[in-house]
Amino acid sequence: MRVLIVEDEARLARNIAQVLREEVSFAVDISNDGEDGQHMALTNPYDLIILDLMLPRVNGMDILRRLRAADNPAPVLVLTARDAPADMVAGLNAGGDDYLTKPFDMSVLVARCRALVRRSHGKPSAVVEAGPLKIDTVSHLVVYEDQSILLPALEYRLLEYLAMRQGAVVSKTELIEHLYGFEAENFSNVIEVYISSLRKRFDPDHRLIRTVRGQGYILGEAPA
Amino acid sequence: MKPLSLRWRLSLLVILVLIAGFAVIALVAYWEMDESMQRDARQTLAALMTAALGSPDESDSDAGIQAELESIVRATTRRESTRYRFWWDDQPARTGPVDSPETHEIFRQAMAAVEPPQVAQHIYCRVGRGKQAFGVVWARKTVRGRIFNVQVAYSNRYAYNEMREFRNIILILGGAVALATGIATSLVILAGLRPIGRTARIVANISARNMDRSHLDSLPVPGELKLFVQSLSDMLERLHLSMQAQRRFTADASHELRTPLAVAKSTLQAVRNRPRDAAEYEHAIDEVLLDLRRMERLVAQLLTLARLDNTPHIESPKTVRLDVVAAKAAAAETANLGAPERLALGTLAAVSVPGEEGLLTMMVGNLVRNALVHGPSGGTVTVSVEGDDGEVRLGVHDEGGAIPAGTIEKLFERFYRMDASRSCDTGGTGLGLALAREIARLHGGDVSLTSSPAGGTTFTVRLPRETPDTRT
Repeated sequence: MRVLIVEDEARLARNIAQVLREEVSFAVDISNDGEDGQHMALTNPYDLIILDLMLPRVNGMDILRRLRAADNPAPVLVLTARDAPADMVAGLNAGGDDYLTKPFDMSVLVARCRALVRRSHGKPSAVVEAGPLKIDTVSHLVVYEDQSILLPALEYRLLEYLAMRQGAVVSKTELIEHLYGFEAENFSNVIEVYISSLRKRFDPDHRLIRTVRGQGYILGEAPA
Repeated sequence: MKPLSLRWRLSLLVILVLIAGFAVIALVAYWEMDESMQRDARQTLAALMTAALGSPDESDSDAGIQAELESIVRATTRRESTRYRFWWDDQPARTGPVDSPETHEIFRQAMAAVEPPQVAQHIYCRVGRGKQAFGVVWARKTVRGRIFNVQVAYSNRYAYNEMREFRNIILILGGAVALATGIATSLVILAGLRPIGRTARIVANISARNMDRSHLDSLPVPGELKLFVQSLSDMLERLHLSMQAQRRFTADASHELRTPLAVAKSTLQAVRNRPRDAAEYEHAIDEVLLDLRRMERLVAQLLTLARLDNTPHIESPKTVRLDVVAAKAAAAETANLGAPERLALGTLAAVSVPGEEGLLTMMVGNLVRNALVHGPSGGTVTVSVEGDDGEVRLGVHDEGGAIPAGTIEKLFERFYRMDASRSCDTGGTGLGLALAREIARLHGGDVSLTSSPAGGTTFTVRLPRETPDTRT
């Protein structure tokens, strides 16, 4: 899951990014400025945007409105020091999905981020099932045939994303876009490496993670 | 007792004035008519008397005289308004005076008391009251050696009735008109006062939450109330603006306090998220200490502002050498920011002002800090103090470029930042200049700002100079 943090307090943004990255699921981009943040939000397929409202150059509320006007579906968590009910209502009405006032608890922020991502993919439960797999998005444990498996971070991130988009063909480009932030250097063949590693663990005959030639991958057992 | 309302007082006044007016008119008219009627009566009586005195010449017997008188009376007046009586002075006692057919007791009672006139003379008198009032003429004349008395009474009773009717009409009509005018006045005043009532109801519903001028703008008001409603509306607007400023200040203050708190908290929570090595912990602690310093400074400034807001004037001002304070504060502030080499001291005239040294130090410190942080990096900040007879001027100059004229006044607003983000990159609280201005004003002066690309930016504090009588 790729997250964008638009927050002008550089240290706050950095701290949030650190915690989210340590949560395995998230790849994080940071923008400390409204204009730059707006550009990033509009040109990249983020799974979640954490948006401060008081920003230099372009106001957070304007970014939110422009995102929704451009039909950008990314869930937005509004983050601000303003706690008046009218401000919360305005933020939600402008297209925000959730609201946190500063100062907040990191654990709450992380839980809300997970919930927003889950919801946006139509998965109400924190445990996502895919065929014989149970993926716990909180503990990042994967249960396969009554065995808990702790996957390496990027393998888990890849599996979680495929599970969220179960039944849909996900291209390699999409995977790269959603699993890595800007900072990461990536090459498309790493995806193939991770896929084959995952198959070795619980899908030796390629029935769970199938390759659609020329298009990408699809998670979900093929009809027999 | 509750005082009568303006409406009733005015209505009552109008009624009373009208009644008085009608009464005066009625009285004057009554007098005038009475007078003319009396004149008329006397003329009639004079004519009657002349004719009556001639009648014994025409006839010798009493019956003949009576017949003669009857004809005279019938010819000249209405019979029922005229009475007469005649007699001879030497007439035998058994024959009384001769009276007109409808005789009247006036001749027996009222006229009995009247002194008889001289022979060949006549007297006129009025007897009776109201409807029974008569004008009477008594004349005596010698006829063939005998003295003939004749009394003729004439009553203008019918005219009197007319007058009474006229008087009653005036009274009833006048009363009705006065009453109707009174009620109409009352209604007009009631309608005229209705906008006040409406305004009062609107004002009663205004509270701090919904205060602005729109409430009264749409209210239709008559001309004489326009100024009143207008000034009320203006007052609402002023209160609205100051409430807004207050609310903005509270929101800004909470933002300014929450942000460093959020940063500090996130730093600690992030570092606690996983086991870290000692260097990481140390780094986090240092960062949180920085946040705490920022909050500390902000809280101190907020508290100072709150204290200044509640201080109309300095309690016991002391003599403060402004040049000494300025040099010390500027040196301390530049050292604080680790740039003592950026400070230059200009003219420092030895002048004193009455005031509080701590506050003046804070004022100079804030201005110097502002110049150091917002002026060009590495640029020199020059502090100077000079004075003349009236005032003392403290200047803080930096080599910064022109500040747009529109933002100059805003710079002194609490929490104003040239950029909307309020980020703390510069380490400022956004209160420094506001505080400097408050302190200057508390000392009876003010801070102004001039800025040009060539001349740089100069903050000038003008304070009244200490005079012997301010030193108490």
